[in-house]
Amino acid sequence: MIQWVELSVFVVLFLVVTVMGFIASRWQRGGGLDHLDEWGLGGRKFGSWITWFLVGGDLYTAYTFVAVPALMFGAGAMGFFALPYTVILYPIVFLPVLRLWSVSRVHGYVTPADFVRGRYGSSLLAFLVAVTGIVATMPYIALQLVGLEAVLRTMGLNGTGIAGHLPLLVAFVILAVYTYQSGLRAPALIAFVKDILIYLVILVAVIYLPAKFGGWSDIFGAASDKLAQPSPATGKPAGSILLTGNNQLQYITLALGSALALFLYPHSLTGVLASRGRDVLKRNMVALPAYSLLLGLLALLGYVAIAAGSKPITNNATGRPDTNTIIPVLFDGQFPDWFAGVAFAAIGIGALVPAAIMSIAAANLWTRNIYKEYIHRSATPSQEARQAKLASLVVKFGAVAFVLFVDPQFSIDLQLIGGVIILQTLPAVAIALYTRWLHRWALVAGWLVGMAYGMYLLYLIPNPATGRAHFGGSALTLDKLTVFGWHPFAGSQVQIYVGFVALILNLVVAVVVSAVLHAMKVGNGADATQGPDYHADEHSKRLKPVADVLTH
Amino acid sequence: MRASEAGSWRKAEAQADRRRSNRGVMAAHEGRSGFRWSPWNLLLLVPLLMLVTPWFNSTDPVVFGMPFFYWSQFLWVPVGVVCVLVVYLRTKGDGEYAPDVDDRVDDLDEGARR
Repeated sequence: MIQWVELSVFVVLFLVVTVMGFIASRWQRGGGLDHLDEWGLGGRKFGSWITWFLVGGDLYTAYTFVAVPALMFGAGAMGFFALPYTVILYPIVFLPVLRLWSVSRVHGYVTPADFVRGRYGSSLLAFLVAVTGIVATMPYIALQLVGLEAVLRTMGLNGTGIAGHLPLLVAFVILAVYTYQSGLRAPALIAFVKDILIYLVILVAVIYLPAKFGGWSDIFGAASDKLAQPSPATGKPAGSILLTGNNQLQYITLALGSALALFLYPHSLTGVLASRGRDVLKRNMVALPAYSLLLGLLALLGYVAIAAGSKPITNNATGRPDTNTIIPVLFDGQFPDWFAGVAFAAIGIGALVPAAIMSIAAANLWTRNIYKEYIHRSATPSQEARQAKLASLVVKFGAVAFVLFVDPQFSIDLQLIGGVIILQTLPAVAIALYTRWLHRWALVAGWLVGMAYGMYLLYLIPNPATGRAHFGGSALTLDKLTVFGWHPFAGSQVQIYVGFVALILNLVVAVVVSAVLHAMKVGNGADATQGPDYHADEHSKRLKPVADVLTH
Repeated sequence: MRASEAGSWRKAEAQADRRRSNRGVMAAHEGRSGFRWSPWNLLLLVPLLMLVTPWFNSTDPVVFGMPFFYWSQFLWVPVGVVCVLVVYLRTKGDGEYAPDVDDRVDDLDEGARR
C-alpha cells in the first residue's frame, strides 16, 4: 500500500533540497570549482552557523537516527551508549581538532592522510591512513542508503527484487549529480533544511508520543516487560532497561571508542577543515551537544515503539524483518499522514547530507593520497578537482551497488568493522599532532597488528539471536580474548568493545617498536611542520592562501 | 605585501600576545611540536567521569517516570557544554595572530563579508 499523502510531502521536500543542491554551486563562490579547496572544502571559509549545520548533519546521520532507537528497541539500555558517546566526544576532540585545523590550513592539507604525509614524510603511512579512511567510509555511505530505504519502504515503496530498489536509485542519482556539480557546498546548504526538519520532528515526537502512551512511567514499564521476555532464538532475555554486570564495560568502552573514532573518520575532518578559523570550531564544540540531547531523546523513542506495539516491516528484497524500520513504522502509525511525510523527509534528507560529505571525503583521500601520490604525480589542481569529482561518483555508485546486490546486513557488518579499523589510525593522526616520538615504522607496525587483531576478534564473535557464527557484533566476551592461544580472562562473561582492545594492542606495539627503533637510531623521516603551525589562526600570514597551488 | 596590511598584522599579533598573557596561556616551554598548556584545559577531563556507569546504573530515584539511569545521563549534556564553554572563553585568542576583528557572534552570510 503506497501512502500517497506521505509520499507527496516527501517528494516535495526532496525536490526543494534538490534545487538547493544545484543552486549551492553559486553560493559564496570564491573562485572556480576547479580546485579541491573549493570543490572539496567549500572554499575553507564556513562560519559558525554553517559549520554547526554541516558538522551536525554530518555526524548525526540518518542511520544514527534510525539505528540507535532500533538498538534500544531490541537490546535496551545498551543502545543508550549513544548519549555518553556524544557527550564525551567534544571535550576529547576539542584540543586536537584545533591543532589539526591550524596545521592543515598552514600547509594546505585537505585530508588527514595529507597531514601524516607532511608530519612523517612517509607516503606509505599516508597511504595506509587514506586506505583505512576509504574502506571505513564506504559501508557508512551504504548504511545511509539503508536508512533512506527504510523510509521509502515504510511509505509503501516496498517492491521485490531490483525494482524494489528503484526509488532509492533515483534519489541517489540526483544526489550524485548535484554533489558532482556543487561539491561540499551542496550538503552544507541542504544541511540547514535537514536539521531544521529533524529538530521539528523529534521535538514534536518526544512531547506528543509519551503523553499518548500514558507518560514515561508506562513506557519504561512496557519496555522492561518486553525486554525481559526470553528471546525465541536464545532462550535468554533480549535485554533490560538497566545495564547488567556483563555489559557495563562494553557500554563504557563502546562510548569511549566511538568518541575517539568519530573525528578520525575522513568525513568529520572534511567538515572541520572547511571552517574558517579556530574560534568557529571552538564555538561549535560548545554548541554541537544540542544534537546529543536530541539523539538521547530519539533513542528513547525505541521504548515508545515498544509501548506502541510497533512491528518492524519485512524487507521484501531480503524477506527478513528489518528492525531499522521501527522508527518509521512508529511515525507512520502514530502521526497524521502529512506529518509522517515530513518526518520521513527529515530522515531521507538526513541520509543525503552525510552521504554527500562522505563521498567527497573519500574522493579527496583517493585524489590526494593515492592518485596524486602514485598515479599522476604532476597533477595540476584542476586535474585533482576533476579526479575528485569523478571519484565521488564512483564511490556513490559503489555504495548503491552494495545495497542493490549485497545483503544490507553485510553493510552493517562492514560498518562495524569500519569503526574498529578507523580507530587504528589514532596513533598516526591524533597522537602525531602532539609528538613525533612514535616512530613512523612503529606506527606502520602498530597499524598492521591492531588491524589484524581487531579483525580476528570480530571474527570470533557469534550472534545467537541471528544464528551467525562470525562477525556477529562488536561486543567481545573477555572469555574469548586470546593472545596466541592464551586466554587471560577464561570463564569471564564480561563484554568489551573490540575496537578498544585492538587500539590498546596497536599502541603497545607502536610504543615498544618506537623505543627499539630510537635506540637503533633509525631515521624517522622529515617533518614538514613547525611548532607555531599548530596554533596559526585565521588572518595569520602563515596560512596558505585558499585554492593556492597545492604542493606536498 | 602592502604596508598597511603588515601594520594590522603586527597590531593583531600584539593584541593576541596581550590576550595570551592575560589569560595565563603559557607559551614558555614550546617545543618542536609547539605544545602549549593552559590549566583550564583540565576541565575537559570532567565529562569523562560520565563513563563511571556504576554511579548511575539504577532505577531509583525515578523522575517523571524516567529511571535514574536515563535522566541522570541527560544531565551530563549541560555539564559537558559548560566545561567546553569555560575552556573556550579562557583560551580565546590562543591562536597565532588572532584577528583583531570584532568577536560578535557571526551571522549567516559572514562568508560574504570577507
